[in-house]
Amino acid sequence: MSPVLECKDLTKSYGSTLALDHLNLTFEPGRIIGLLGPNGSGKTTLLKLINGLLQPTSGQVYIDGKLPGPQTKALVSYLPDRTYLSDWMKVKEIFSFFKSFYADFDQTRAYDMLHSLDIDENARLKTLSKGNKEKVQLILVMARKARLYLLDEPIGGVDPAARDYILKTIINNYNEEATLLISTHLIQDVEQIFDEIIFLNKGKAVLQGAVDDIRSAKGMSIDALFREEFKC
Amino acid sequence: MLGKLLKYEFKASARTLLPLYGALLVLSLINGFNMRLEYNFLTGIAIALTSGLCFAIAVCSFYLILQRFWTNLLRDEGYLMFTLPVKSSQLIWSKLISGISWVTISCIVGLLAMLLWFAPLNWDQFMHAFSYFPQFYDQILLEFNLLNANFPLAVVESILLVLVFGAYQILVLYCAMAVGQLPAVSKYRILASFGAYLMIHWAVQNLVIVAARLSGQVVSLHDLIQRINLNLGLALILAGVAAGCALFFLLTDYLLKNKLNLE
Repeated sequence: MSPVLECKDLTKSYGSTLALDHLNLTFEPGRIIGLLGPNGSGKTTLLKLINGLLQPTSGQVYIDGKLPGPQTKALVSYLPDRTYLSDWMKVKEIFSFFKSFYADFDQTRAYDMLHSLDIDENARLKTLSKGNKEKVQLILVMARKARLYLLDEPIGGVDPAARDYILKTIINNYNEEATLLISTHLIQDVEQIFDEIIFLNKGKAVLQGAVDDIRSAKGMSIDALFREEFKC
Repeated sequence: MLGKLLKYEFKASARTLLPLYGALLVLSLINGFNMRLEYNFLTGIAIALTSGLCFAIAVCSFYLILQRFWTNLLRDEGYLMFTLPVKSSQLIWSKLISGISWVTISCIVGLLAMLLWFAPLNWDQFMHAFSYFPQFYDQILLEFNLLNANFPLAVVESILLVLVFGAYQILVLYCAMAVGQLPAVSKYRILASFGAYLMIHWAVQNLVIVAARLSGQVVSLHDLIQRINLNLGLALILAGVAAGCALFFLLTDYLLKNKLNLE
């Protein structure tokens, strides 16, 4: 069986800047992986390459053994680092939009999450606060029963109280056989949910492994390790 | 999937255009009524508003063609559209079909508005003019027979030509925007797209001139006109423009599929 996600010698440069430098990674199903690194380390670029929104300069990325395309997009649930919804749409219209395009979108689950977060389904996106827009996007992404979830800074714009709910939402809604790749630099809040982590720096994976192994080998939390590794 | 994309695409433009159509039709009706009265201050305002609305509809129909491709595919909303399990060709089709449809609907609404405006004024004259139509039609058929051409076929060909030429213009715009987002020029997306648009037109124009000169050496234009009738001539032009459509569609699809660059 092919791995859920595989990067082979993946390289991406923007002009003379190297964003990803011959990255080789393999992800097995059923894991929650933290993609950690300072700003500009290549996290967002990696997620965009997996989604086919950018093209690699060299090397390749495979999702379930296939290059990014309509087939792989049906397997991947992606939360980008920006608002990608048309702001004239109502929340319920966006839900039916997702329902019509993604066979794995569970609308009942989406409404449950929406009501727990106390967001009006009849509200137009443009009337929602930035934090609430992010919550709606996260609901859309987590209400899918995808094989691979790619979350780019999922808790970046929401208040600490909502963060706990969102993390719970992620854990409770993620399908056990799926792989979850979460990019973040707010490590302390998320650390407890990771099975594995990857430290990305200047486009290279500088540290990679199971969280428990790393903690016991280094004798410190992932957050502390991050602060030490990327000290300015 | 194309059907679903089209549904979404129509809805996105409808919210801008439908209110404008509604306002134009209502104002035209009011104008039609006013025309029967003496000219007054309000008539002037109504006429100015109607003209303004016609202009707004024309501008919006054109602007939406650009905006639905640029904003919905190549800006932030593209993060959603390009992660849907659809082919890039389906995305282009949905934008193209919706764009042509809205321009066509805008033209029809414009004609309807004129009818509402002027018909009540001279209803009798209007109907009188219509009564000449069968006679007029017979005369046209006669003229076409003399030219050895089929009139209904020429009408169908002309309508198709307008549509295909419209599609060609839209596809050149799409292609130029797809070029403008390429990594080498993406720092100046708008400028690069504009430059690509001018370049494409310049290249096509020169290609047509060269092709005309070359074919002119084989057969003179005079002979050509003598030999082929109007229907065949229209069909040939139609085929040429359709080939242009296919070229720019495939080019845009290639760029969006293999060179997408949402930085």
